[in-house]
Amino acid sequence: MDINVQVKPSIQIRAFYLYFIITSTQFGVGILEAPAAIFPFAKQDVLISILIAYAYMMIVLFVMLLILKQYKNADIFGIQVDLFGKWIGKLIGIVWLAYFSISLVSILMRYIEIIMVFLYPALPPFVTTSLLMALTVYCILGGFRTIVGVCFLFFFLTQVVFILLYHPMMNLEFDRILPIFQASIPDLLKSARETTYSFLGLEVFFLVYPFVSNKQNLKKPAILALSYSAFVVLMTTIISIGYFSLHTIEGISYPVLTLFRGIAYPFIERLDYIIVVEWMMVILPNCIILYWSITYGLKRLFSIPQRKSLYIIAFVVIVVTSFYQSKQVIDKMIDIVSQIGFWLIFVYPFVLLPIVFIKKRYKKGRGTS
Amino acid sequence: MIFKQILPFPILVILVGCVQTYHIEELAIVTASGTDFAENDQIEETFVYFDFEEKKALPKIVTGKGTTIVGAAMDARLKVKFRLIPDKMQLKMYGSEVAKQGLTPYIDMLSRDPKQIDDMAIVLSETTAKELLESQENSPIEGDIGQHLEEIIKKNSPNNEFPYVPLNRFLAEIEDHGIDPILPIFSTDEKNTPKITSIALFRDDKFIDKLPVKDMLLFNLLEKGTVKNHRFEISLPIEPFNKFLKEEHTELKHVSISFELIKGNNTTQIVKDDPLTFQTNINMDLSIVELIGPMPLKNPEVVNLMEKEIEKQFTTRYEKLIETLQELNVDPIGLGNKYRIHQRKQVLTKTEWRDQFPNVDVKFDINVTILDYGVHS
Repeated sequence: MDINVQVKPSIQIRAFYLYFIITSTQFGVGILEAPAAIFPFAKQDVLISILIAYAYMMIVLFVMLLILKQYKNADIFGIQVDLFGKWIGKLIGIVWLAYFSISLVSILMRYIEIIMVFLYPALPPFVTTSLLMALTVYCILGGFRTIVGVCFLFFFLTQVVFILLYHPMMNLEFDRILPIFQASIPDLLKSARETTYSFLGLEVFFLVYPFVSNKQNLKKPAILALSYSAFVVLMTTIISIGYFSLHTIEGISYPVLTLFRGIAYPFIERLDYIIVVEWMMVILPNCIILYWSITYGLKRLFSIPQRKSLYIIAFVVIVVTSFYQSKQVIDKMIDIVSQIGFWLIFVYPFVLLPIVFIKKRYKKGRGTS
Repeated sequence: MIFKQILPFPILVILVGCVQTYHIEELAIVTASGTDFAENDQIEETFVYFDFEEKKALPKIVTGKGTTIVGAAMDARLKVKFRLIPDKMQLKMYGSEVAKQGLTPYIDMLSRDPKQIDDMAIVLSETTAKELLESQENSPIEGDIGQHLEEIIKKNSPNNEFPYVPLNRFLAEIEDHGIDPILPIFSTDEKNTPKITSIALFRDDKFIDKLPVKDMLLFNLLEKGTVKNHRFEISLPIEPFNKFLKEEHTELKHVSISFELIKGNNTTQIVKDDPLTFQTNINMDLSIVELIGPMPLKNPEVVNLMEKEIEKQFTTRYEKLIETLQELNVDPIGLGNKYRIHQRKQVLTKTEWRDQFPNVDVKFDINVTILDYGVHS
């Protein structure tokens, strides 16, 4: 396989769209449960934990950029094959694909669970998955530019819902957010680690890099995207702490959805139901990107045409998610995803970076002699 | 190719058929419910509901019994030809016996079920919830008692303060150790008209004692932020004003005045550690809307004296209130939270504040300004 990717100018994108790709991948079901997941260790200091996680994300982003810059136009699959050879490189590529698949399934299962709890307890799971998969496959058939277009469009359609949080914000008990700077450093770091599931999505950068036409302008949209998602997690966490009791917040399954439970307008009495359905628009770009990553990875690693793998994987995903499992199983699955994601996205680039440099120097040395 | 392009649409249309539907004609929409104890450790739940079958939607009442609230709803369901749905329940009432036992077990369903809304008003009934909700049948109020009571509460709290206690706030205050909840108590008069008559004080989730509804203002002035649009009346002794009055008025004992609270705000701080002393400053901007008795308001000295007298009266009332709260060891003002922040603790343990609270000292500094007195003095 080629290490560098040949991308036709007709399917290249401007760096500006990277913002929408990264935010769309980061926003998902993770943010709905983020406040409850982060809170237990650092308590009121979770704000600091989120900032730590944000700073760390920035470092990871720059490491990723540094790795990618050493090549002309490569993605993670090409780089791994270049560094570790054909066999090990492809094996690690499979790990990435497995991670994308399990992440996709976990998102779908969580969303099915939310639909069942909030709206239709008896709705068969395959209905939700089929709906999402039909749209996903349809969108991917449109090509990479369509995918980016969907991310762009749905970003504006979905982020509006956060404005509605002004309502719980009006009756916030700021007393609960104080005092800050009390948690110990291990607790802060533990809480920071818990943000993993809501911040996963950074890895898409490794894949779409070759598609960007103006690579010199790439930093700004990526930084803005990470800042925006960190900001939203921060805001929802502050509001949740002020809204719920300090003793019960850990036990609430979807704090962010529950925040919408108290909002009513004369023309629309139950807003949270709409938010649950609207969240499909958040899930969809998420699914599309992950799904595209799987098919694209298969194409890169094993030269399987995307058109063929597309339908087969959709079928497999629908079958897998049809066996709706209990909350414990989904929780376990999400735990596994965040474990793998943590090592793969937040640790692995730091391992990759020195190898890339050593290899480059080695090559250079051999070239001159 | 064209096949692929239109493929998703039939799939979407067909799949939509799998979604459950709810026809409004087949639903009974519960607007309020009340929980009481029944014999044999059972719960009796009273539901006020609407059905849309008849031309004019009429509120109806049904009761059911069970060991859980949902069980009671299932029992009630056997008497109603519609599906009872709680999605728009605006008011939850508890009988005072239930509240005395502790509300945690009976509020669990409201927090667990995502179908319940977070801004429903929680109230107590002086007697049983059933008795109060059933008063709809022979009382002068028109329409649905659930909405009626909810309107009473919401119209009386322009800035979401007491007597409006939404579910999410009540749940949080039950759980938090630095603050205790308060709830409004409804009772009916001889004509079966429901009215807010007192304030229920809670220790955690247990109803301990009640205060007269007049003290509502005292709690509201301690609300966070600015309090506006409240009217209240006050009775001042006339003696200090004697030197400004004409001879014939001096034998009067009291002068009654109604005020509009234009703006009120407060700050509470810990000023001393041993003994723990809180300093609460309250500022009130008032406007006189009614005055029964002679008072030469044109004279600035009279107005100044009146301000002083009001301050004095409020300080006494607050001191009495704190004394009562300390005797009962309940802290609805949330001084515990201030203490927690002062101690730089993330979470307060349950006994820690209960041991401290009866011995704390709270000082009040009230500052009243009378801004105007209407269009004639």
